[in-house]
Amino acid sequence: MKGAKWLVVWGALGWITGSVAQAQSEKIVFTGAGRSWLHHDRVAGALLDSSEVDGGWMPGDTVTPRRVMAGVALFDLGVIARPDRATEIVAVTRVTSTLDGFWGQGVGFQVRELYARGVIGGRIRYRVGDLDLRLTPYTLWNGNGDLGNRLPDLWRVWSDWVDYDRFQRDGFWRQQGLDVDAVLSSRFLDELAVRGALTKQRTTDYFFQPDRLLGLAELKGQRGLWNGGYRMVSLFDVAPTAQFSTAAASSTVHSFDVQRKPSGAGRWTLGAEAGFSQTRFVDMAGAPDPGRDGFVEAWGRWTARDTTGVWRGVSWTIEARRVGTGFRSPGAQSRRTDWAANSSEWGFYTNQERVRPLTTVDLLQDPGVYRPTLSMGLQAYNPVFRNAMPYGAATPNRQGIAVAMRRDRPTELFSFSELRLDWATELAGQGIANLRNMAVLDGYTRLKLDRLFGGKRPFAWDLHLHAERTERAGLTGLGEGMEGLGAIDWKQAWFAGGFNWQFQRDLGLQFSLLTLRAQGTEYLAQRDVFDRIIDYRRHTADLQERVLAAGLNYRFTDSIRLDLQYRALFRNDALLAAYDYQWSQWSLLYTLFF
Amino acid sequence: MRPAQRNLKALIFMGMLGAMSCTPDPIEGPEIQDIYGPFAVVEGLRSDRATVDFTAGEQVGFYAQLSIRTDWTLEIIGLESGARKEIQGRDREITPDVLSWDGTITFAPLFSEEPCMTRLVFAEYPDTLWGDTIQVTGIRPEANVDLVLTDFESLTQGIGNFTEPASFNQRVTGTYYQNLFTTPPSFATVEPPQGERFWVMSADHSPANIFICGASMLASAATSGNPGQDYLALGTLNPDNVYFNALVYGFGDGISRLQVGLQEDDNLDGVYDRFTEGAYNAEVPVDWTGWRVVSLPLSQFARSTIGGYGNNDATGVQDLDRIIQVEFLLLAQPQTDGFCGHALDFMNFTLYAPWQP
Repeated sequence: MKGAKWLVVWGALGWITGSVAQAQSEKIVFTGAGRSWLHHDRVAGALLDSSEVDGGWMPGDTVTPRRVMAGVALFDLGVIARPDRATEIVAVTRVTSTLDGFWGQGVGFQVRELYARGVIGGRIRYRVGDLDLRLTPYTLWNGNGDLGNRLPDLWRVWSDWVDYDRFQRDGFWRQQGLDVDAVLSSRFLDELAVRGALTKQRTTDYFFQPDRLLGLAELKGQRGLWNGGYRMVSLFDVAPTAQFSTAAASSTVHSFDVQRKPSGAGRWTLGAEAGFSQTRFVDMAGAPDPGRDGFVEAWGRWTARDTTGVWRGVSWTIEARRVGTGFRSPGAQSRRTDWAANSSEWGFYTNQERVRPLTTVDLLQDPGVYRPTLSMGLQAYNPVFRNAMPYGAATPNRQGIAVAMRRDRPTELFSFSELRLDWATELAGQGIANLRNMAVLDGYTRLKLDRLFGGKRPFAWDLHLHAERTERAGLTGLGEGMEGLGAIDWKQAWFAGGFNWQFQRDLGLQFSLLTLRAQGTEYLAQRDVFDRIIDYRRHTADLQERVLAAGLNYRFTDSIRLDLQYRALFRNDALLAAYDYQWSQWSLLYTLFF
Repeated sequence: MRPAQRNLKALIFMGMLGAMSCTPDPIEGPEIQDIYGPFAVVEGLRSDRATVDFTAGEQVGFYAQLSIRTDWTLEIIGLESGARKEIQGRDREITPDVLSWDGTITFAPLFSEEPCMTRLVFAEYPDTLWGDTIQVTGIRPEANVDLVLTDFESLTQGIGNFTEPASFNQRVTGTYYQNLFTTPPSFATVEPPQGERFWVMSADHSPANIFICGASMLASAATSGNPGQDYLALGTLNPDNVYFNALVYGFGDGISRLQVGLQEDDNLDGVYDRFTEGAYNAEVPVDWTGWRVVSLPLSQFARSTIGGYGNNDATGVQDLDRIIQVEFLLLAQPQTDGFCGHALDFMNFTLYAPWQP
């Protein structure tokens, strides 16, 4: 469906980078993208009213403004310069103006992106400056979005912008440094490629905190139906860059993978990846000995032939994995969501101006709640959104299997469907010998209802369900006060549904319902600076979030679009009902690219 | 199916089985019953020495053993001076490695050569463990500070005070009063913790007033450690390595809040513009009675959230080398009324460690 694929922001980004190929003959090319967002917010609910809590009187929130009108306009201007046939320089600047500031104030100007790339001697490619790096889900992968990427069209205009703004698309980490790769000739392989990159993660304070770098190396080969490779990713401190300290940490992952494509008559693609990590702390008081642990994953994918009747467009995948308790991979385990961040819209609440916990709409609308850098240790996560595999496939202390089905028939009513089931358990109990058992269901389908009515006016529905359950038996037979201690029963479900109806040539109607439900008890591990578990926080929840949204979008041209949306968030916490609130918002969003 | 493909599938299947059948790892982290089990005292509180000479660098170590990990506080109280030290922890096995006293204070005044009582109290349980009385035979040497913003001793030091809503300010020899509250509690009984003078802010406020009054001073007017500088010369740009410290007096009103603001001259024009230049604030609920040492790393200062008061930061980041002015405010908890106040003294900055008098 044309309207459904009208992803403005990605279009802008794709256009910026894609126009390089379109205008090879031009030495200077200008590109750009922009947006203007006006919104009117209203807050209501029990949070603002005085109430009785546990027999005491709790005054209502008198600090939070009930209504807010605000907005922002920003514009990205890119220049692509080609001094010769083998060199290209890209610079993108951003001008931002906050509309709720004082006149003439609040205008920001920044260099958003800057890099040069080219080819040396026709064989060696390089890129210096801003880089986008990605390897595998166990080595370097930015894949920890807490809401997944299956959203109704109404929300895509927001989430795509956030991903564009934070450079967190398709599993890539935005880095700054140097990236070099080359294809070598080989007598034994059809193709042999090498790659190396070095980027900077943290700057020294010149005294105690050293520079932190990320280095990677990759060797890939292919012969016939076989391909595979070796990868090394290391996050490490350069101790001499801090004058008064020799303390340094490093975490290195080595990974090997192999894959076999199906032969002429076969339908199975098979693959495996295995590796290990090494973590070292040097001259750090109280640090543990160097740690080492590994992972292994094997999978097989059955793909139907195009002409195979009912199985046409269908593929099945079966996976098994084991990730050691001490496996550490900063490039794959670093989380993009910063749960300690406060939202840029209505970031604080209550009379004590506490940081308002992030909600689904914050994750969808606010780029400021995402981190751009890698972390040496495991970062905190929110079990309300993801609990079973919070660090993606590289989540340590997990073993399990998964079965997935995918059906892709773009011209039919059920144009695309995915279903995945994961079962996992721990390798080591956390604070108790009993292990957590986890089950995850993730299903998505895209319905093209217009196929029932001739297909003249695109009418597409997106339906996505993600549900998790985590269980663990508690202690038994240890006497009074201990019975059942440590038991876990945690349920979480996320549903995102909605439609996009292009009822006029340039005018579309959109609707969406999002619901998030979390219920039960979990024990969240608290870790020290060396990633060792030192405590557990008992986390009990009975939380529900619902977001109803509707909107109209109008396309002036393929590159200019206007959205008018209304959405209402209802947040209900049965354990803290005094903080329940409703947050509604009218938005007028103008997007263009050229 | 070709033999090679069949062999590979078999190999992967065996690998999966092998991976799944590995021996489980031992328990990770502390045992859950050590945190959430029944509370009991296994071994009472005791110290590893009866006398201590802090001038010789000696420390006092403590021992105790509990059945679970739980939040506890060790209190050491000077029986003659009234000085008080509090050390908080969450260990089950308390040993000198996790609990020791180096002669520093939490509440002023300083310890003298005197007997000190010790006790351990718990946040979630009513029990109190009484420990040995320790005789201090030599007091701790004076702690170093790197930059003293003000000790309020100079009557000519440039301190700009302001109030909203308007009220009267009074500058009295001996103590600076701001927005003086004329009915009890009386300041006459409050002794300065250092020198002869300190700064007081107080009011009888109504529920509508959260902001009571405040004052600010330029970095160039700092008492010591910053001669000839327009900006605080902190020596590093890392906010984790710089601490703001002050002695703060609480009247026990329970509704007073201290807000400290570091105001930046982002465009280096010599003036802080609250509309376009950043202010980074930290807030401390003053919920104690007496003089207490307050230390905050500058990384705990967050960009102002108040529109038109430092929320638009021209550089977008905390600039430790552009702090031109420090502001300190008296705020009240919302929806409260009545007396609200606190006092300040010896505001200073230290590098790499908090000030520990």
